[in-house]
Amino acid sequence: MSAAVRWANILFAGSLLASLGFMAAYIASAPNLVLGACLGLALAGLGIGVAVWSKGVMPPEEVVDQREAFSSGPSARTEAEEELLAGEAAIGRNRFVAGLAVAAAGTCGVAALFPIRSLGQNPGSTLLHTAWRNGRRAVTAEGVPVKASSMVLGDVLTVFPEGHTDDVNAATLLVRLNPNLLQLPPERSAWVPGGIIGFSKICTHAGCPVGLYRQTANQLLCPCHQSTFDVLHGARVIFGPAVKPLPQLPLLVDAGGYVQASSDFSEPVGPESWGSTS
Amino acid sequence: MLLGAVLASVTVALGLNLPPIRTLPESSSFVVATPEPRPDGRQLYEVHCSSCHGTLGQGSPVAPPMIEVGKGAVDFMLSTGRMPASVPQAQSQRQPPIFSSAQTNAIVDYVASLTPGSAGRVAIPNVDPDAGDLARGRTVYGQNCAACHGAAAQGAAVGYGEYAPALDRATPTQIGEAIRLGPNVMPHFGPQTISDADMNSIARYVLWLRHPENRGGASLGYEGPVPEGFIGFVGLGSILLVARFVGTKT
Amino acid sequence: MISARVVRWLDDRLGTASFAKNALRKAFPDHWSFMIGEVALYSFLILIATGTFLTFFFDASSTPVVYRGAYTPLAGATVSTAYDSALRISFQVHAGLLFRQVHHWTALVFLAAIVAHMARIFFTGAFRRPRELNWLIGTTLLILAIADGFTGYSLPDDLLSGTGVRIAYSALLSVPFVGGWAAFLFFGGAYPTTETLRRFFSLHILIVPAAIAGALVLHLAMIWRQKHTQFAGPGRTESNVVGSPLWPVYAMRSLSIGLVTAAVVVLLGGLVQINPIWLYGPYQAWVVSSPAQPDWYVGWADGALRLFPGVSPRVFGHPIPSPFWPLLIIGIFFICVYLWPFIERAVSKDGAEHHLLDRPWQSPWRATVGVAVLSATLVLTLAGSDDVQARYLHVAVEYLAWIYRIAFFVAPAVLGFATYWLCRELGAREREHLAGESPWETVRRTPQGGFDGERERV
Repeated sequence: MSAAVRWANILFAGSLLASLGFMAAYIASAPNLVLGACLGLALAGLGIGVAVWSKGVMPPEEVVDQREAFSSGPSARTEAEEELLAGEAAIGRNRFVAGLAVAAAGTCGVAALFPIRSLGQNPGSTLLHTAWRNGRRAVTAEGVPVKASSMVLGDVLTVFPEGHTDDVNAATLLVRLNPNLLQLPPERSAWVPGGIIGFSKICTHAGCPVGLYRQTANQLLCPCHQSTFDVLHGARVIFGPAVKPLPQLPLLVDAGGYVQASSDFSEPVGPESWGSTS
Repeated sequence: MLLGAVLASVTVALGLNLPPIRTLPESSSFVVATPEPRPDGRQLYEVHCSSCHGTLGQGSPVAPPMIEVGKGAVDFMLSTGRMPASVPQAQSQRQPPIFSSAQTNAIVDYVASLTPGSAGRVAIPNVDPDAGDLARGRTVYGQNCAACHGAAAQGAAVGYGEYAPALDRATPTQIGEAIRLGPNVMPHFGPQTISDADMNSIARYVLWLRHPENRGGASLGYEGPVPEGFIGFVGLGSILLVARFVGTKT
Repeated sequence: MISARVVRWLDDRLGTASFAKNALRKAFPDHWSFMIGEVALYSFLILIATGTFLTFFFDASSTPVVYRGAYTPLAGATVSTAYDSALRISFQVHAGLLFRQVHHWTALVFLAAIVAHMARIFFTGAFRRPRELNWLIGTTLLILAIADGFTGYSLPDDLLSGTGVRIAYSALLSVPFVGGWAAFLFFGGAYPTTETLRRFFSLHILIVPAAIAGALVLHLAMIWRQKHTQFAGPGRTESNVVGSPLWPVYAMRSLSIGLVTAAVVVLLGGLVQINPIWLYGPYQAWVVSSPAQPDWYVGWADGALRLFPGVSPRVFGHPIPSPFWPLLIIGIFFICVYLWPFIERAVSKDGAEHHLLDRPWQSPWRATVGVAVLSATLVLTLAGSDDVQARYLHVAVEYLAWIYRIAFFVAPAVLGFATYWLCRELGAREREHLAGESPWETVRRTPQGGFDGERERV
């Protein structure tokens, strides 16, 4: 018995056993590892066995096919072209009817495209506004309002407008830092009560949540493409492919000590598009 | 005197697991030597810490002040071996701590004594993972921690050469301390941002992540599609090896 | 014999015997690299088989549901029905996890095989006349496969893939004029919308696989009709095909590759965990975990997004946001790929039919272009995982991003030059060999003290 035949026998026999093993493993609700190993080895035994068999056992054979030219030859081509043209002439004999048929077919095709509009609304300018309003309190994802005094220095928290915790585009990062370190334009100095500053959590590059807060550097880092935003300078971009700074949420603290917004974000949130004119 | 003898004996017995020995009458000048003298926190601080943090904990250009940091901060840094730091200013890394827990406690107490009357910012938290809820821990961890530490607490880069470390060796107390302290670039999560109850749950989930149900097989370090893609090519390569076997090479 | 009866039965009804008589003896050249395409084909069949199993259990709905399944850390969590059904497949359905993992591993191997196959076609010049059509279809198959993979791994609605869906949405939205329309067509409206999962499901199980299957049929039919190409060698000319007969040798060879492909992906599905969606958690648009990467065959696009600097000019008051530019470059790149047979024809002025393949070095400039393109794509793919590398290499990710930005231009140039030089060397060596010359010289000392050299004869 040649080596190839011996190996083929071993492999096929092994494969057979592995298949039986898989059946048993399946019935016994064996873990994924056992199921995969048994079935995998069964297939491997079959596959390599067939490979060994085809290479070592089957007689090597060479056949030679002749290639023919693909072209069907000038006479066949001419005939085909003539048939095509004759058919076209027959269809289009009456110019007016043919023209009207084409116009009707074209219009029907366009009409058939109209239902595509049902597939959804054009996003357009939906990100221009979120659910934040003047006087709307900031709440956690569970709906708990946030007191300004509850945030310690260096704290970071994700909040939503009260009653709109499902408006994910309104997700806002609240960060508490030393207000003396801030370098904001003068019109924004009132937006940071007690050193609590709020920025949109939706990255202005491609929309990922800007989930990493580098506390000692006061930087927000987006994990998707490493856009880095400098909180002290109004979350302007200091590294990465983002261009727009994170929109800032104007904050104030109400009489009860709760953090609320005094208006919607400074700009539309998230990445821009052709349709966002501002 | 008798009380002192008993206390000394008990101390020795605890230290050596030997049956207690009786001391000699007080007229003797013989003193029972304990095998491990109670660590001198001040001395340890002066030897290991004061060169960077100042003799009174006032800090220096290379190290922050120790005033008002709280026992939890000092305990975290020492028990994880991050301090004493061999290279100041680099991100401190977890290492085998050089101090025993008794020595650590002594230093912690000494640093706390530098600001009598003030507990400092971070106390040593009482973290009880068994009191936490696993599902709640997963939720809170996912919302606050996973962005930096990774979904499986495997750790990740957080920019500019800094890293959120893997959490596979942190004790529940260290987890709690880190949450409140915010070491290195980590934020400081206050008691209303992450409550003590949530801290128990996070600790429970982090401990659970050390033995996650990897029902699918080898975990590839939990780094996701990157190693998976590499393995995909290894798979193709092995198939092509068989192709090379059955086909010709010329 | 049974087979004789079957032949007769079919021939009586369909006249198949004369076709079979020729078909079974059809020559298939034996080189191992011709099997790469078959690996892709068998991967596709495995994807259909495992995917069909999954469709019996997967529910592509965004409707929120409270998880009450076997995975305790998610107990009581509000997740989408899609995520819940994917977890049910993974934890409750008998052998469900195996099918899910095999399906995903096969997708990775499928795309790797397509890329390797395209590289083989490219470097050997198999796309030349009369096979330009097959090149066009093949490039389309690559794009369709990437689309199918992306929609597929986004279906479980987990945190990692959902983040990628948002990125794709933003990237599509960044396209001028048509971006908004394209976004609503593929995603179902303003993000996040409950329509996206269903949309992706239709695309993933019906529209794109049907397109792939149709394109594959054309692809294979053309290979059958035009006969396979072959390398030059003894007895092989431009007007013949020399190889193993379809039956039995080639069929057995092909079958073995199919079985081995299945074996590898099933072993991977059993032994190596892939896409542990339970660890990532359900998708929530305001939560993210590190690291964040797509599957490898989209990794080059993610790398392009990371590397391309932030530029967002305004045209007539309309912004063209920064994700558009890498998308534009990718689009132009694919157009060049499509047009390559015609570009090469214009440059080389060679419009003849070719059935004999080039060895890669026999067309130095084509090989150079190929290596340059592959190395640029490799740089982009590596750049897509720069944060993971930053962690393990202890290098700041910002440095790596800059290194890759530079490497994107330097690597193709350097490797391109090296390839060109190597091809010329190999070509020259081959010519010497064929001319009976050896590269070796015998050096002798002359009586006068100098040196004398003589080329050896082969």
